[in-house]
Amino acid sequence: MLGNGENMCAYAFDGYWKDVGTVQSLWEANMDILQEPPAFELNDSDWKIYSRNPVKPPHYIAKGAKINNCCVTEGCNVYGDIKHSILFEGVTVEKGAVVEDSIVFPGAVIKENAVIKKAVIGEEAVIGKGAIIGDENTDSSQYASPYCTGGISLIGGGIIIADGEKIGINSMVASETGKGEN
Amino acid sequence: MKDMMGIVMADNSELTLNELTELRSIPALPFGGRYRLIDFILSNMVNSGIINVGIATNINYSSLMDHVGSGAPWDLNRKIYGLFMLPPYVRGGAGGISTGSIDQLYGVLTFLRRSRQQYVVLASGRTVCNMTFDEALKLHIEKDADITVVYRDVKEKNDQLSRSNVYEVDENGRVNGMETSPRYPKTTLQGMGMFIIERIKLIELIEDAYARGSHDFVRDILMTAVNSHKVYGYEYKGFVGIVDSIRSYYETNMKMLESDVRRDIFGSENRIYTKVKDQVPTQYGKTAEVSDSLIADGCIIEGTVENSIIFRGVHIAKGAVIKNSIVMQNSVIEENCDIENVIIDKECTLRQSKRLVGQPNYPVILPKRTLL
Amino acid sequence: MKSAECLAMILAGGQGSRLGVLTKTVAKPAVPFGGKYRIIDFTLSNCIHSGIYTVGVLTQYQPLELNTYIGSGHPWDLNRNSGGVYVLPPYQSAEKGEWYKGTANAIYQNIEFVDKFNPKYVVILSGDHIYKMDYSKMVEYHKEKNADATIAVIEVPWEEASRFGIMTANPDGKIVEFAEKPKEPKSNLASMGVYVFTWDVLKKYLQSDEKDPASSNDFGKKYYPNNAWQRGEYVCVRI
Repeated sequence: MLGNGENMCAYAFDGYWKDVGTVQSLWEANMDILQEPPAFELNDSDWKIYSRNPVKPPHYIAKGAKINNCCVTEGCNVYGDIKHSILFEGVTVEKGAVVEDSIVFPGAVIKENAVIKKAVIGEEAVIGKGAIIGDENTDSSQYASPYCTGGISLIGGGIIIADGEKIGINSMVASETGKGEN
Repeated sequence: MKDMMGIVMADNSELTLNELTELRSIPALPFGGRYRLIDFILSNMVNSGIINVGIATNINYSSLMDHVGSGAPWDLNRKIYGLFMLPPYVRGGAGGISTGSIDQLYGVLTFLRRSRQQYVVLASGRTVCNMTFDEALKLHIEKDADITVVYRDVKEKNDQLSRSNVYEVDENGRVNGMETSPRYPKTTLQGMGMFIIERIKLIELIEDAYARGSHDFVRDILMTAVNSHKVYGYEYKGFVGIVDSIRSYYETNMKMLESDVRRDIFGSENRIYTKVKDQVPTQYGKTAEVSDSLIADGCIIEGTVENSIIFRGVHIAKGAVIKNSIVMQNSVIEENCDIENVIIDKECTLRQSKRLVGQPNYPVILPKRTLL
Repeated sequence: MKSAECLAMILAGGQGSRLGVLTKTVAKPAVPFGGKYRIIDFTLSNCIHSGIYTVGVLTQYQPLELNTYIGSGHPWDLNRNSGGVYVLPPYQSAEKGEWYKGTANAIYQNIEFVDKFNPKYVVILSGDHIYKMDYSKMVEYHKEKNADATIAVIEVPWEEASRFGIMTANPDGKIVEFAEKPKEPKSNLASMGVYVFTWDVLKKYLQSDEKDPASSNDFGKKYYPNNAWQRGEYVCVRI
């Protein structure tokens, strides 16, 4: 196009811009929101980000729950501990469960005493009681995935992780794991 | 079967919610961290398949109109029927806005006449519940009732019963007696402020009452009907909260903190719809401590919140402690404030280290836009 | 900027395969982000804040979730009587019916759609970046410079430069070279995947590109023509 004498210009942009094409960059960009102050400010009254809103009640934080440096939105029910994490709409974190450095997509359920560390949990996934995601002590070879870098684990949408199951770091679970109740 | 239309009577003439309702009508009262009272009846109506709804307003209705808009959240922004705001009717020559419910209903006559549905669900906008009217309509038709009242059994007599319509219902569902605001109620059957009547019949009853110079739907139409017409009762067994006082407003809100109640109201397939606000998710800081609370989106929580309901856009600074309270949208509670048993209306600001404590039965109310 | 003057086309057809199982059944722009959004909300919100109310969303891979999400555009104020948001999957017509072969081909197949609105400028966007940007400023710049095409660039850390399409420019702003994911980048100005074209000019090139069997039909590769910089044509970089 230029070769034919067309006029081509480059316009320099200065501001936050993130290509979220990899699991790691998606996770990092989400974590940017949790920084104090946020690296990327969603709450900008001059530049509101619109989306299709879920029709859900305000989120509920139970007695005994702990929240530290998180983002939570409507429809969530938090009974456990969440730290430096983002819960999307309608997520349930049951009593005794621990979620740290993670992103939990809409409708997922983290059951009692499950432990999630540095993970992306897919929409409507169910993490069974006492299961551990992102466990450094577990051998990761079973679910190791080139898509998961930087110590991040990924549980796909709708996946049910059995009670007590342990998933290592840099792992991706794309289909049902073993037996066990959900 | 779903041949119903709805009319919401958004008046608040006799009620005493003071500062909360000074600038808005009761159905426009913010509730549950995200809603307004009217959302419940509107959602119940559309979940029952009703697509033709009129809101009969009285005074102070701009808040309501602003919230309800063209009815989009309830899918009532339609070409055929939809949501209609019916402004207050002024009785000719009397000067001023009508105050009686008959006047309000008279103003709604045109709407009733031009509608085509067979049955009308007539409701006040003050009841918090998640129900549909299909069952009640079925009963109404089966019994060939003239009017069906929806009621609940409160099991034990309480104060609110003395401010409500109390019914005597026999084993066939027939209403044989009715009291209104009785000091010593005969039964524990409390009216929920919802009625089903055939549209044509309602028109007749209104015209008739109006011609006789009557003012009140309950006293002049309903009570007379109990003797002269076939009035039946439909008992609703799910959760019900009726707001008619500061205390019931506070208590009904606090009920939302109970998981059974939340499951009843919000866990159903039939959802409660409300105006969308495009808020960002709520941010919790490193010093946030929250327990047993309902928090809306758009908040920034850095302090302690216990047993409370926080509406959207509220900022609770580090060291601030909120207990057993309701904080409405966009209010700011600065560092080290101590708030207990308080209802804070919207856009208030409490500067550092302010202390505001009410009694468990008598919460303190901070009106809109107060700066402390 | 009047909306009639400008139309946006969002390329939302890619698979985003590097997101693994997240994009198994949904297209990348429909992936959740930020607690209650989806990736495409940022681009859509940018459009309406920039005054662009006519938006085409080109889908192909697993479009169902994205289509349902966008619907008639109401959440973004894009359910309008004039303009609005249109989801554009590949379609069958009397003469042809084929999948989008590449990003440029996707625009080519929708020439009729764009012509219907007859805009002066078309803003081409990808639906998979997180950023806030006022496109109207870029269009103003495009107009000022009398450009036929303008591309938005951003400085990236040098160690990441080899992941992007890199523009090398002279101190006076002339672009000297364009390289796609260069192993040894000569500059750290990356293409953001945001382009403004004068429609008539773009249309001409799309039509001739389509006739070229050797073409890769891809925006990044073609319209940042490798060929082009030879005549050292006027190129401006505004910092």
